[in-house]
Amino acid sequence: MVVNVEELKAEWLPPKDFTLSEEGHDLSLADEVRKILGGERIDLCFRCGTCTAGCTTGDRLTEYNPRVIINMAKEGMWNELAELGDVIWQCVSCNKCVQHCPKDARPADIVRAVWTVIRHRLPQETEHNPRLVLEGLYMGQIAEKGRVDETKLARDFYGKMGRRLTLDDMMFGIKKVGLTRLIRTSKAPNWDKVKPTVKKLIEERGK
Amino acid sequence: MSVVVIGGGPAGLAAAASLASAGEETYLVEKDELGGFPKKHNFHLLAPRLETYEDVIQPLINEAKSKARVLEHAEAIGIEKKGDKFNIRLGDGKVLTADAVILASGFEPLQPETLLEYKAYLYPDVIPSWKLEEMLSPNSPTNGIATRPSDGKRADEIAIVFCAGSRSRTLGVPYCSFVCCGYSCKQAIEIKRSNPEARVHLFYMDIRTIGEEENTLYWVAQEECGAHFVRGRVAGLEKRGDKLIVTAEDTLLNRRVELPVDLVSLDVAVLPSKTIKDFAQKLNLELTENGFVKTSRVVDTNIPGFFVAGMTSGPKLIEMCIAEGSAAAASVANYLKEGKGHGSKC
Amino acid sequence: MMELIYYPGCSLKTGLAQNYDKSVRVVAEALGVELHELDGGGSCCGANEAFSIGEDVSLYLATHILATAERTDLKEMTIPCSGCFMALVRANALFAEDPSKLVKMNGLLTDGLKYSGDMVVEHLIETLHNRVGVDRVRERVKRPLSGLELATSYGCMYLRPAIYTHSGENGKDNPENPLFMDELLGAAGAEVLGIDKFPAKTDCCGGTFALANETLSYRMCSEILLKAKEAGADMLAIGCPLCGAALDLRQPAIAKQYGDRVSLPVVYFTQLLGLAFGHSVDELGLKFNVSSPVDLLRGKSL
Repeated sequence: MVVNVEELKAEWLPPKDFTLSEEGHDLSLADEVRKILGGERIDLCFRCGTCTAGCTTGDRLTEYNPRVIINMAKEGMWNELAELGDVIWQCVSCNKCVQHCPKDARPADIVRAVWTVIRHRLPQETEHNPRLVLEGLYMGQIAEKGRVDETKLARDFYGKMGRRLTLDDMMFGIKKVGLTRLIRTSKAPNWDKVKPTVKKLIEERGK
Repeated sequence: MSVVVIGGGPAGLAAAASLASAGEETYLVEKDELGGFPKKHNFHLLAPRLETYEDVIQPLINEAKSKARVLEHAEAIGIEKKGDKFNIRLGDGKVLTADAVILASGFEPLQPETLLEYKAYLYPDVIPSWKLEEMLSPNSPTNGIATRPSDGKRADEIAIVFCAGSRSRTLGVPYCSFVCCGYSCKQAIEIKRSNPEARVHLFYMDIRTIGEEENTLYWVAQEECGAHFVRGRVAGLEKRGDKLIVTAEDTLLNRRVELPVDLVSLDVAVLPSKTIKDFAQKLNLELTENGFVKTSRVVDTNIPGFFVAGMTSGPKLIEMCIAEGSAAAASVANYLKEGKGHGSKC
Repeated sequence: MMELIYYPGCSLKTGLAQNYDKSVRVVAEALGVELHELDGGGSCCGANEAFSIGEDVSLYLATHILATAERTDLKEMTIPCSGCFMALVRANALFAEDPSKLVKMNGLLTDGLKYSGDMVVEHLIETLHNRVGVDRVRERVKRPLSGLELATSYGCMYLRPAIYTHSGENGKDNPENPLFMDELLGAAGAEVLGIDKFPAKTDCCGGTFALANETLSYRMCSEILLKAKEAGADMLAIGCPLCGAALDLRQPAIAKQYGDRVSLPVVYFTQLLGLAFGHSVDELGLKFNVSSPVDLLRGKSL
């Protein structure tokens, strides 16, 4: 590797001691994946490994292996999946797997469907997952204003993650976006008409 | 009664030789030189039995030349059926009339540049498998040694990429090209024999060395020739210095592999011959979903009097092409005698 | 006069990529392209965080934008942000694959909006390369970018996956070795490094993780920057605000972790085109770039 020989470790705290399924080998969770749009393609995978070969995250975090994640899910190895901890949430959406998959199985979409199943089975354990926290804040902004303000997003996210904003951070924000914009985000035109629909869809996510 | 065989590769040669031997008036029309793909690319040892071109193909050429009416450098560019007769138009304007036709037009190789991820259009050291085959013939410009096209240096680290454009619904064709696993193992053996310093790395999804290929090609490559097999499909290639870096996952070890090599040979897919589409339109010939000619009883088509042999009906080994040539000849002979084919209802 | 709908996306409209937006408008005007901004800037496309198609909200947001665009008379949209581009082309591709999805979305749209599925969506890079053309760009150059050695980072979503972007088909950019930005910048007089020298051309910068997992994103950015620098690039040219957020805005933090070897000015390709067309540093928002391209440009008398 070019920059740093040490391998990255998964940064987030791993979840402790939970089981996704009472039996060791639960194929029913795979059925739940199949019900989610994008997850039904899980049966197309013939384990060639092209996804993992080109995976951006997998190149730096060797525990992240889309072929393994997808097939563990298919084979019902959900407790082992949970043991992998936060690694499985580290997809950066580079789409190299979708580009290269010879079966058009769209690995990134299957992995997302797996996340959704885990999130529903373990809402409390996963709600502190930084990705989900960020998603929640992002969705919240969309619902309210139809727009996303990155500086506000960063502020709120750091707040939730317990990171204190330094003076540097604040000066950076003001310098880049301007003080008025920092205080008040703009709203998308005619958003009030759209808001109820969007709010409802957000609530329904992955049900 | 006369028969026209279109295509002078292994299947066409066998068909023409058989028919002519049986006393039928046989024309063999070939757009280049007799011998087909093996001739064109100077094949030496043929999979799966490691017999030579001289022992297998040359005798067929000799027989066809001595018994049938051979027209080389003559391309069949058009066909029509009028009643029970077929009119075949050649490139020079000549028209042949036949009572039966055997189409043995071989296949079209997938051009490697179309596989964007393997970057053959950028790097001369990424070659299609037929180029490797040419290099490995003892009478090649490099005397049978695999070398790098970019600088002529001997290739000591060679990657063979299986399924380049085959078995893919997104980048290539969905079917399996049949012959590559066998010939790749053969090439690994030949490379080691010609260059003991060489190391061959074969990247595969499956090893489909069926029948006796298993222990005469695969096991020999692995056990006697030190071939390095990595189970994982190649995602991409990158250049670093003067080496090419092949990236795949070793799925049996759950580990990504980035291997620097001198030369990359792509087992490119076998595509249906270009003649098929044209003839299919003109004759209303039934095709398979992959664009090969649909057959019943191996050589019969839905058009009475029109038969096929060899890769025209799908990817297969050279010896199967030869067998089908003879089978088509037998079908034709029967058709001419009884006025019908075996199973013209596909 | 070429007219297209212009959908800037949240980053360019109100966020941290206003320099990109400024430069896009300057360049469009110089090239005779009239940009009709979508309905006051439109609403958010959902992009990264709302990405999962398993959730209707993702497709809905994209459909809302496409339907709003259809209300104008124009049939083509150009998008400067790769994230937005992906959200919209993906919607079009999924509707083409499965028309029942379009029916469902149309059923959810409000205010009488309906989408036919026919909007042509292009990334700005493609619009400038294919519609406007490299020759026209060359004609407009007043101050060639001579002596400037560039590495181009195309990122992910402008190229992949081809099932949505159709990259590699019919005159679109090659997803494994893209050249459109290279050719545009080459026409402006710059030297652009090929994939041999700079293999990280299509690598991901980890922009989606710039907040959620900085460590991973910094690592990915550091590799792109280092490879560009080692290849001899003076600057890195990009075409996506998410890449900008990761490679430019975060550069001080990345340099803090990986050292000065990853310090390299990062600019939007339109900023460079604008310079070549004779516009000023201020008009193009170049001072806004955190990675200080201005000093380097001054040094090269550009």
